[in-house]
Amino acid sequence: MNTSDDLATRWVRSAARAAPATLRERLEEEWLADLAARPGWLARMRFGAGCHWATHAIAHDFGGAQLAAVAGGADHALAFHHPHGTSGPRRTVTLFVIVGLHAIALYALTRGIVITLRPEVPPITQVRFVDHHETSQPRLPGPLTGFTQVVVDQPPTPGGLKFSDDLRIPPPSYGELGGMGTDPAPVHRVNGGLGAGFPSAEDFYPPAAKRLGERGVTAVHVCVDPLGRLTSDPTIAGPSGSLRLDEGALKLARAGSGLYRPTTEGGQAVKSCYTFRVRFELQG
Amino acid sequence: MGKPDREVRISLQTLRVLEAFLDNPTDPLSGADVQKRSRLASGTLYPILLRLESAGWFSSRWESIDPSSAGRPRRRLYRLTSTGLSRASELFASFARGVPA
Repeated sequence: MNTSDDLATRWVRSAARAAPATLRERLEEEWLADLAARPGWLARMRFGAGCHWATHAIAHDFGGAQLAAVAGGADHALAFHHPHGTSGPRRTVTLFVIVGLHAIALYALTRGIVITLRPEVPPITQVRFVDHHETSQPRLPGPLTGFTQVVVDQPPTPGGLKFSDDLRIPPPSYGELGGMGTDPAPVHRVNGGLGAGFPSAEDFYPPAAKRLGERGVTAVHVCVDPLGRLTSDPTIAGPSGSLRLDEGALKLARAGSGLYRPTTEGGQAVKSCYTFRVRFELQG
Repeated sequence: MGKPDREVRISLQTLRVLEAFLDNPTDPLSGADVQKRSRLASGTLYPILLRLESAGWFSSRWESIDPSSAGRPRRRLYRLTSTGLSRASELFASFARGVPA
């Protein structure tokens, strides 16, 4: 007897033993004999499953009934009370339960396959520079939408603005100012920024920060000579809250040395310090 | 002994079981034989056999063989009783006439 036959036999036995007590022995012997007459393991397994169905129906029909027959060898006719006459409702409920379980399993399987097959699209990153006017109060990060270009230049040139009005601009030498007590002449000043060919900021978005979904704005302070080169190591003027993003911004600022656009005064490039902001954000 | 005939629930499956016996009404059939003829699942067949037996339409007995010499277990054999034969014949005749029994 192979494994499937053994399983079917156990199934039939367990079904028969769940039947009303006076029918157990008879049904077990009868069903095992009929099981032996069925060809093929699949037919036997179906037979075993059917016996369980039969047990439920028989228990429903004859449960609590006065079973006059015994399951012995005598040719008895069964005599019992038939309370309801049908096992339909229980079968229907069981059928619905089985169908429901199959539906849930199918849904879960389908969803699992869809999730497995759906390619994981890496988030699109966008890094942008934000213009920074040299104000005494650091600007709060704006909304994370709509940026597509680098803007770090051309703050409005104040008409008649004296250098002494802006404390963050390095004061010119006294020689340039002329004699003591002499008002300096108005000078047209254009703040510096990022020149053409400045490295792509997106290349400096730290991969770890991407994976972690970190985003933010880092303000970087740089000092640039007339040739657009850094004169000192850039520093963080406004941290983003992520050390990874801040470090990426510093690397970007260093890589851009020589590509900064210097501040001009009266058309003349001068040394200056200014701050620009780098916005790291994820799209998608 | 059995319950009144009117309490026997006549379903399509019950008719198929009766039809399997009416081919040769005197022949005893095992559950496996009825299943081959009626093509009903075991979960449907055996409750019907027991119901009809309890109603007095069938009688049953064990097959008269020696399992050890036959090499297989003995089967439970069912056959129509005179009551069952009469009622089944009436039933099918009424269906033939188009009148419910």
